[in-house]
Parts: sequence; structure tokens; C-alpha cells
Amino acid sequence: MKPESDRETQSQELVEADVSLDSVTLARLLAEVRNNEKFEPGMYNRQHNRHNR
Amino acid sequence: MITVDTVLLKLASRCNLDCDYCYIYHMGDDAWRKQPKRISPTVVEIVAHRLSELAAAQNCSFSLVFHGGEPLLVGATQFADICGTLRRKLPASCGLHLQTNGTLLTEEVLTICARYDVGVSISIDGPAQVHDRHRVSHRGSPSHARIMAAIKRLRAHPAGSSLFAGVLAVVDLASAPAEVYAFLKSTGAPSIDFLYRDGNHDTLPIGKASLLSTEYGDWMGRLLDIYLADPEPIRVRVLDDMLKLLLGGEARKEGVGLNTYGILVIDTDGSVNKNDTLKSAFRAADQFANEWSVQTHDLREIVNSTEFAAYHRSQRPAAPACLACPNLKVCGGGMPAHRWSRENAFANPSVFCADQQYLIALMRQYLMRYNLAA
Repeated sequence: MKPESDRETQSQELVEADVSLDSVTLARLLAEVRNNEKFEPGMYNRQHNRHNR
Repeated sequence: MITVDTVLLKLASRCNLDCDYCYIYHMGDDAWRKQPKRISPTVVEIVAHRLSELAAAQNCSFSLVFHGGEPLLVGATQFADICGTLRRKLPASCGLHLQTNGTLLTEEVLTICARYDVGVSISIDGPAQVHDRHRVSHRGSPSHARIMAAIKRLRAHPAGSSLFAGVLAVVDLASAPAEVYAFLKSTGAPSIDFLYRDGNHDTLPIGKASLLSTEYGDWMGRLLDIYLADPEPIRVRVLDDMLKLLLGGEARKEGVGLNTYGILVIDTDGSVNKNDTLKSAFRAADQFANEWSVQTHDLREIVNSTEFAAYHRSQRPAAPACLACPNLKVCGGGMPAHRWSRENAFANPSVFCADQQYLIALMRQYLMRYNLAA
């Protein structure tokens, strides 16, 4: 896993980026990264299945 | 202690479909022949007990996925008993999931899923002409109409919107990504996931001409174009994971990124195995040297063992080319099964390396267009 400090730095850069997104998908993904959306093991989620099948 | 985050529980070792690309039945591993056709109530009780001990020890829940074969071959009555047993023994925070081909997803089964809060993911490859090329019965009959009827039942169920987790599709290179995406979106699923056809360095995946060719990357690239331009997109899990990694976020499933996951598989006889996708590399590749079973072994001891630690570490890429690659944080070296060769074992880049390089380059172009660091 990437060091926490690296992730914070990169997320901060994204927060500061002056972007106008016309892609709904990219806007959603960017918001999720900016919000530092965690996906910890044990967090209940319908898609909480790491298995690639 | 390694945290287990996903447990695949094989409820049935057989399947009522005979998909020609299946990694369980058509890639050289025949371990399923020796397995009981269905998990027994006794084994389910033991599994529930062992998993409750594991959940308490790691102080962290996991996702339990009913898998197969086709898990619903156990029948509705036993399926209800299995769900009830697991819900009684496991913490409420443990997610229960069903990965099914949909053919046996009856109203009765849906009611059971609603009662025990079991998320449902359905395997469907696209519209009928795509899906029925591969996903047929043992007599060669198409299955698409039955799957669509199941999806209709699921969506019409009062709990359908909360139960429906997504659809899982295997890429058919002969199909049009736009047509497949539009069709899968029309199913009403909240998310789609795509899988490549399995293969390795000794047996290339169907449709891949060489290690340097990019057939799968091209197909996914066309899908990416459609996905990013869609004003009303649904989620495409594998693309989301890769894009989020490029944006500095986290991936959620194995096969991309550098996170390692604790995945264990419990077969119908209670034996404990590695990730079953390894079966596609060579016969019994998913077997531990220790012949562990929940009937005789404590899962906490298994997870704490050196052999389990070695299996967990083996997710990490080891090929020098991967370790020096600027795209490693996104690609992650791919699925271990796809790295296999007789010459180097798993110390290769993924057989899809060129495909992923192409796709990641395309993603970087998109992000640069929006002035997003990548």
C-alpha cells in the first residue's frame, strides 16, 4: 500500500487542480478520491468482494 | 495476523451451465470431480464456527461469497439453512454475497436473500448473441433468456434494489464494447465488472495473438471512451479501480493496484484452498501443501501459518520488469494466475501486460486532458 503521506500529497494536488469536468464518471471518481473514501476490510458494502470472479 | 477480507464458500462443486471459458472446468484442473456435489449441513456448521472464531480473532469482518460451480444447486431449502446458520454465527457486519449464473434465482431464493441480506451478483456477458456464444447448458442450449428472466424477478422484488449488487461479464473480443455496455446498463444493475479470458504465458488467452498484442487493451479502451463520455453512467468496477489509482486513490479488488488481499476458499468438503483462479495456471495450483480443512484445522492457525503468509505474499509482483515499471501502482502485475509460465513460475509480468500498458496510457491521456495529475 502506498504511504499515507504520498496519498495525502496527491489528493491535495487534486483538490487544488482547477478542473472543469464534463465526464460524469471522472467527476465522481475524483470526488471519491478527494473525500479520501476508505474501503476498509470489514466495512459493509455490497461490492465488498475482493475476489476477481 | 493477515486480515482475511473475502471468503469464497463453495456451496456446490458442479454447475448447470457449461461455459466454454470456465476456469473451474475447462482449464485443466479436475479437482471438482473429487468434491462432494453439495456442501453438507455438517460442514456448513463447522465453517460457520471456524469463521466466527476467525472474525473474533482478527476483530474485523469479512465478505463471504457463495460460489461454485453454481451455488444455488444446493436448492432453496438448503440455501436458506446455510444463510441462517451463517447469520446466527457471524457478526452482522459480515457481508453475505451470492455469485450466480442466475438460472436458479427463483422468487423463493430472492425471498431468502432478502431475509438474510444476501447481495446478488449475476454473471451475464452481454446481449443474447454475445452471451449465448459461451454461456450454454451441458446440452448446448442458450441461457440468456433464463438469466434475463432472473434479473427481471430480482428487480421486481421489493428488496431488489438493495440486493442487486451487479453483473459480471467476461470480455468477448468479437463483441462491440458499446453494445455490451449499453445492454448491461439496461439490466438495471448498479455496477458492471469485466473479466478478461484467462490464460498465461504458456497458454495465451483466447484472442490474444502474442504477448505484445493488445486485443484486450483495445477492447477495454473502446469501453473506456464510451464510459467516460456517458452522461448517465453506471459503475464499471475495474475501470473505476484503475482510474482511482491514477488519481491517487485506492482500488477495491484484486488484479489491479498493489494492495494485497486476504482471500481464502473453502470447498464443499471443507478443504481450505488458495484463490481458485490459480486453477487456470496449472492443475492443483490452488492447493496448499498442508491439506487443510475446516473439519480438522482452526482457521486462525491457518491464517497465521508460514504457508498462508507465502500465499498472501505471492500476490505481489516479482518480475524485474514489473518492479521497474512506472505503471506498476495501477497494474499491480495483474492476477497471479495470469503471470504463470513453466519457465519462471509466477515471476513474469501479466500475460495482459501490453493490454494494461495500452489502457493505462489511454487513461493518462484522459486525465491529462482534464489537467488531473496521473
